[in-house]
Amino acid sequence: MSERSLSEKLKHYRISQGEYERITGLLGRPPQGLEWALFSALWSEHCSYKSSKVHLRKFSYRNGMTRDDSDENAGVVDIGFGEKIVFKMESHNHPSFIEPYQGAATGVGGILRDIFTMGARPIALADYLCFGDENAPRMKSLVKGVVAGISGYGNCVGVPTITGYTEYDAGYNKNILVNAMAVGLLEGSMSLASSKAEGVGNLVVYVGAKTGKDGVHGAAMASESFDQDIDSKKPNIQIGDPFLEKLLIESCLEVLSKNLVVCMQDMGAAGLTSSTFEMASKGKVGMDLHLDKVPLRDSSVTPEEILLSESQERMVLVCVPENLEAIQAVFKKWDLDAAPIGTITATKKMRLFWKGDVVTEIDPTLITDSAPRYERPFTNYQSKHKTDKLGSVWSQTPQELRETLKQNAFYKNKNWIFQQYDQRVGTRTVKDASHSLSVVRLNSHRDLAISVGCRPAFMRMDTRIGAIDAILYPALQQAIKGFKPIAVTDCLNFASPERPEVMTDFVQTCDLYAEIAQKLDAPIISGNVSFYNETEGKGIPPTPAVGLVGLKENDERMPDCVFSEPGLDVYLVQMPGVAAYAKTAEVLKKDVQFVGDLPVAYACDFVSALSQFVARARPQVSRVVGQGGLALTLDKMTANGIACVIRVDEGHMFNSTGFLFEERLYDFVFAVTRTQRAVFEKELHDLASRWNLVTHVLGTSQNLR
Amino acid sequence: MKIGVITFPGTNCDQDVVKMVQAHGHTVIPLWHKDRFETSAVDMAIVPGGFSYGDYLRCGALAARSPVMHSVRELASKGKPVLGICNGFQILCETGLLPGVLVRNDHGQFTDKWTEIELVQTTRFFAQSGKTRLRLPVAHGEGRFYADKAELDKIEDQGLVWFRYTENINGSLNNIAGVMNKQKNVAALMPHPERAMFEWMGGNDGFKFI
Amino acid sequence: MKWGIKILPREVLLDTQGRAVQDYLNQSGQEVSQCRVGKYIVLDLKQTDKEASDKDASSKDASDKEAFKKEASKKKAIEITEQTLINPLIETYTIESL
Repeated sequence: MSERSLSEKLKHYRISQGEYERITGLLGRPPQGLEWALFSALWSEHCSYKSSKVHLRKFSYRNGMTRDDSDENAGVVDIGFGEKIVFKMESHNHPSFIEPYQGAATGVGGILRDIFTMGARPIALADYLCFGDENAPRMKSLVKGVVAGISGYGNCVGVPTITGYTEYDAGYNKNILVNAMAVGLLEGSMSLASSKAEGVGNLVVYVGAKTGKDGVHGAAMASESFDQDIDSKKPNIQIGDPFLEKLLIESCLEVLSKNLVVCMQDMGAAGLTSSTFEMASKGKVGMDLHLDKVPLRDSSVTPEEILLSESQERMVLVCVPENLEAIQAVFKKWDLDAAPIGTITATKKMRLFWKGDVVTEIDPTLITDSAPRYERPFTNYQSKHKTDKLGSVWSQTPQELRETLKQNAFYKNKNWIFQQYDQRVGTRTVKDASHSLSVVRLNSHRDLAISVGCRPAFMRMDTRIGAIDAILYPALQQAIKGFKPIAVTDCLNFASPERPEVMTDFVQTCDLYAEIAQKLDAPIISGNVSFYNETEGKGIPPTPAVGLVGLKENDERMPDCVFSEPGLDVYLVQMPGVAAYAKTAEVLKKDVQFVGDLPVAYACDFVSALSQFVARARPQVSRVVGQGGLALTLDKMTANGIACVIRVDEGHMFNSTGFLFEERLYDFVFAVTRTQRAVFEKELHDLASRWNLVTHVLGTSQNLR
Repeated sequence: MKIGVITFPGTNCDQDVVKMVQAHGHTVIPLWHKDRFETSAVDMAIVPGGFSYGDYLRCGALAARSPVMHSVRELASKGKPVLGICNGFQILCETGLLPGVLVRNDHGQFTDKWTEIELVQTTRFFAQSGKTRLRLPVAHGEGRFYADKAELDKIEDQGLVWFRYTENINGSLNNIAGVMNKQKNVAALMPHPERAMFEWMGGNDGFKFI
Repeated sequence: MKWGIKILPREVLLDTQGRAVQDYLNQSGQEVSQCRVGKYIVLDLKQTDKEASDKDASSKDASDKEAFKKEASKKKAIEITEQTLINPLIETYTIESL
């Protein structure tokens, strides 16, 4: 092989010189044939986590409800009463920027497969979206396409999308973020399915859609930044078929419930390669795979394309030979293919056959476990926007400010998004996305809260405060409705890890998430890292999205999030912490700034205190104050013409722009009926003195009509 | 009562309807799209919502031609009750058991929201709670009721309108949210009564719908 | 001037709708080896006065003028199709005069 063709090959397969040398060392010779494609896919950042793995190890905290299932597709929480919750969040940023509808749709499809491959029925979806400035090129159609894609896929497959977060900021003009989270429920006699291949002589069975040339080299693409010419990056894009996914869900859960299967794995990034190599590697077994037996959509698909195709709605399972017929009967009932393509062997080698001949023979662990681990350089994090005293930056009156903010895309009502999602299919939904907290009901008469976190404006203000807030804010939103956060998933979206300043933010985030998970007793049970979200050297702001699941051990009424009746006394409760102008300052093009700090231990302990307080004090209404400060929060709490009326003199603190618009971490609003008032005030007094809180009576809820 | 609940490929509200049937103390008979059934074995059939055959070609079109629908036709001809919900409504229109057709919402988008509907005519079997205004959720992309002028006049003259939206959410002609056949034993609506069974779901006007 | 634009999913890509219809037909006893579902759009283009007068100046006889007008109109229809009606990532089209 000449020098020139080697460098071209490295470029084509996106393998670095150092990695090439490592591969040559592992094999004892240079890679050949299909090996190039295998290393290219599985050593990509997307599949191997080579830049993040050393830091993700910090997420090791587990408790009595969580096992260490870090090897599996998604994390599991055993919540007792025969119910287990399985959930995970994943990014589909790069494909969504190229083709927003299909990118978002296949993102939803992929995360659902991670859930039902474990035997859990998907019961809810959430999404976390970051778009650029409303008026940036293509942005309106990107927003529309992504929302339609999520709607088109989630609705058809019959899983309700019940919550989400949507950011608009120029930092995402050339790299939007589309993160989807799925939550599954395992109940009754269903047991957790493994992804570890076992049993020499067992069959490897391919099920689901046929293989086409979709998304070949997709994994390697998702591990690169965009340059100007995104058209040249377009592989054959993956098309999602939610109809087929629905059939796949039902048939996979049926074979699992009948105990016909040894293990199961979805085909995600790097398709058949990734799934079979990982199964074999985890089970410490070998596999003989006959690539020519893979069901194909068209006969021109080559062996390399079969290995790397990212055609959607496909799974691989392993079964004892006696069960094959029963498995095929189930898939036939649902009109799906189930083709045996190989067997488990004792060789510990993957042998790939094409029409009877061995084309590649390799130890799978070389590809899965021996991928490089990079300790990318980083520095100590330094605060950028911390000041001693918040400047008064507004010249407008509170009323003018409120109206100006509400014109911004970020603060505008986002009902138009959620109305496109079926939020009730499955008839478990207690609170849909129009509420500050989304909740589903379990058969055990307990409630499960599902939230997404990470407010990028706080990340841009200060990575430390932003990362703490990413978990704490949803945790407090759950606690203020009486829930206890039980586990966390994350989707860490960053720019290139090869730049130390990006890595610094990443490491800072990982350290904080690990600490908070432990202090909150909410383990990080699954997650995903998306690096290289950058275009022409300009990266996105750090955006480590979080999914948080909380549990309430009963199905009692939870406080409303809006003023549901007139005549309630309205209280403001303030925790000592941070006061900031973050999103508000950005929208108004002023200086971002903050004072104070958020002590992690104090804030985490306060979460459970708040949850217990709500259970005892029983407020009618409760809400954590959000971005845009008290002013916009009270605005959001106004419903059916009922609002909080504050009657004070003009010069009173309650009328100052600072009081109304500062974004304080954290303030809370409660509203209480007259009959509950005495109990509430006693409990509040206890809470305030123990946690050093400031309390105000703001006014009463009144009918404005 | 023995109530048959039909599952097509892509049906996704069948288990929700099963829960509704059981909550009323009835027995569920699961009916599979590929199989015909003995009409004597069921007292009522429900065609649930979802995306049968992915809504491909036309919503309800492929499902309407399945073997199970032959038996549903037979059941209907014997005067037994048949209820369609959402996609079930679309399928019953495609089979010709109900008049009219459901087309894309006039605003072009899927819409999930709580709506209010008003009872126009009672059927022989369904929604007998006595409530004349019901708050029920809808979730559909193709729920705009359409019929040409002659057929629409006929539907109105013969009193086949079951429910009307009090506020038109999708461009349905004459605000029609549900219709029935002349014999009043086959009826369907776009809103989902099974999603409004209990107060915790956000409302319970769907209770006692069957 | 009227143009018919036939749009189909790109051959190599998955056609979800075509697959579902094909599977259904095969199950119900028809023998279908391929089914692809696309759309057909009819465009009736207005001719602007400017276009008309440009052509008047540059051509002599009537049939020539007519051919010129048609060519311009087709160009316009193609432009609309490529920029708005199709997504070249997933669809192909053919155009015909009606």
